[in-house]
Amino acid sequence: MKDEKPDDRLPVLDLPSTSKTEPGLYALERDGARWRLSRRDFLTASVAAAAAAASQTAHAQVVCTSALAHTSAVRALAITPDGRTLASGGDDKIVKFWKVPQGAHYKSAPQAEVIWSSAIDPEGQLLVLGCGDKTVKLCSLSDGTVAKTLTGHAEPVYAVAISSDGRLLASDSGDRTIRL
Amino acid sequence: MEGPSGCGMPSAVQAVPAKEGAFRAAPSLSAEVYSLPLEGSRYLIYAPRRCAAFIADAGVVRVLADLEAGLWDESADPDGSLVKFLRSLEILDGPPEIWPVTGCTGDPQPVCVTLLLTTACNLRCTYCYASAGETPARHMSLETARRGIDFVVSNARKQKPPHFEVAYHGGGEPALNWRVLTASFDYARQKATQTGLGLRTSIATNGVLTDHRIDWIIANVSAASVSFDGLPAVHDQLRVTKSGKASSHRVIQTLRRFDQAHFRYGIRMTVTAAGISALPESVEFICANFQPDSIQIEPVYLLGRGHGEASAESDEFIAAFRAAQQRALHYGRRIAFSAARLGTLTNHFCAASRDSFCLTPDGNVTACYEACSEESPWASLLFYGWPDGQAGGYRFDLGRLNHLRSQTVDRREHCRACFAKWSCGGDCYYKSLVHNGPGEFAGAGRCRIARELTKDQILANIAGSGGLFWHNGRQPGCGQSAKLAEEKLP
Repeated sequence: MKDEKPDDRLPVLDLPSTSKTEPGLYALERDGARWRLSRRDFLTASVAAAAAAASQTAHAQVVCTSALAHTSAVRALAITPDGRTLASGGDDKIVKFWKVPQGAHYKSAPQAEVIWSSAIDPEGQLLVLGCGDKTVKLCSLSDGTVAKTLTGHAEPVYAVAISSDGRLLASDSGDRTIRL
Repeated sequence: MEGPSGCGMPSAVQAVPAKEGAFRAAPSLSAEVYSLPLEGSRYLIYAPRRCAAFIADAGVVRVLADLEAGLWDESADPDGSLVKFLRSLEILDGPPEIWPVTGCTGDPQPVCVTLLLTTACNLRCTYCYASAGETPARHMSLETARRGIDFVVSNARKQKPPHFEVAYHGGGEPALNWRVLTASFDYARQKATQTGLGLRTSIATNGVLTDHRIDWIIANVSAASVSFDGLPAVHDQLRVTKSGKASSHRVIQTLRRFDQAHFRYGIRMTVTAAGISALPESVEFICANFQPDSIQIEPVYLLGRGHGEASAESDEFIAAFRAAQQRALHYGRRIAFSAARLGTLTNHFCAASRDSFCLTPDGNVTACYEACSEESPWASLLFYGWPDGQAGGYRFDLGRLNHLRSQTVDRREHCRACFAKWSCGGDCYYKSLVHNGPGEFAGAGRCRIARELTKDQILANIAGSGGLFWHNGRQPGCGQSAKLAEEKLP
């Protein structure tokens, strides 16, 4: 293929005489392997674009809130069964609690180690953390205090999960074992 | 952060808020905008750094061109809807655009090492870029591998990324230096445990592996890239054993075992000029039978044993790729060409200009795993480091390294006005050397492929966003260029 220097800038086009006509917008649809174009008006498009931008702005605000939530990487998120509380944790070794969907931060619970994983029991009482110090910590969801520390893994605990009846806890570690 | 003055494009334009009411202030172009002619006097309008696009007629192009020249004819938009629409896409009166240029300075501090374990290979692919097997085999020693791992671990301890990375690659088939592969892996794991850093590993393989090695890879390696050319009839003409025998059955067995284990892997297909027509069927064969995470398709590189091959960088390749994409979509899959990657905003194609740290079997440092031989005619441009005596570590030629760092699309005059430059990142430096020599980049056959397939992706995004426009400006992928620039191609 010939190596032509590309020039896709606006003014370079040798525009046809129709360029002085009213500007037109076209909708694109796939028609099998081909594309089909149909003329639309800018009013409809501007309303749709404004709505999309507003939606993205709302999305961006949420992302912004979460980006400021921790000082380093977020590794673990868990949400209560009623969907009203979110717990987050990660490399800054702090568990933070948030109201959902408002995104209001209302409590922090510092931990000794990096938090790699988390789960909340079906009753919404217990927060389980998989930690970088190879332990699993069982914390009270109400105040974030550690009620019990489970040991036995030889590597960080990268995943935790609780059974639907709340009676069984599984932990998965870099030591390539799953403990129940 | 550098300014955009060198590219001649209007970017980082100060917003001029329009006033409502009796007097309408002239809108101001606030995006780098390109227009690509389509059929029937329609134009694809594309603002790469806004991740925005739509299709319009010549009247819109004229309005935008006038605005770029500082002209504004209010009669072109009597009801103001065009301006409103363009403002919604931040093409007019928007905030400054991010300038997607990043780079490395000072001494290299990579946290990823690519170990080119051996030049030996159990295949004799007709197009092998490394001409593997033609010269006496050179194997990396464990000491060489350890030195490289020690270097990236030392860097990672200072930088504290979540993980460091060890990639096993060729110049041959890395699994043929099995002892060093497994021992270096154990060493890297040991280092990860000692330092508390995570470890990621990957391997590029031809897939002709024993059951034991397949099992080991599944159990230990994070991900693999397997070279496989699709239909056995195609694959077996190109990827043959030392004795000229077929290899597809062995690769298929490997892929099946990977699938059974839900192991993460990608397939890397090479297309020769003679094999272009079979591409759609080959892609369908893969989609129907295997579960790879990705299918990357490249026209044959005219390097090594591929030197002298007929070029597959053709319009026929583009047509076949499009047909293959349609087949893949039936299976809910997509195929990829490395330089067409809409959604990426970067001035780099790959890590070669970002201190890529690849070690040859002899322990020398090259920026490109395809330039794996010190005898390469381009070695003086791509090799930039050497083992530093017995003490460990490396000595680097910063002059060469800085030259490599400068091989970015924002510095290429040829690419200055190309709409696809911020996603292609200037394409592969090594291939441009082979195509153009060491002088100023003057384009390559791959450019047209990248441009056409990127245009396809933009059109698909418009269609997938309701058909009127695509605007992804606030989502990761736009404005997150520094992170995306770290992306390393397989």
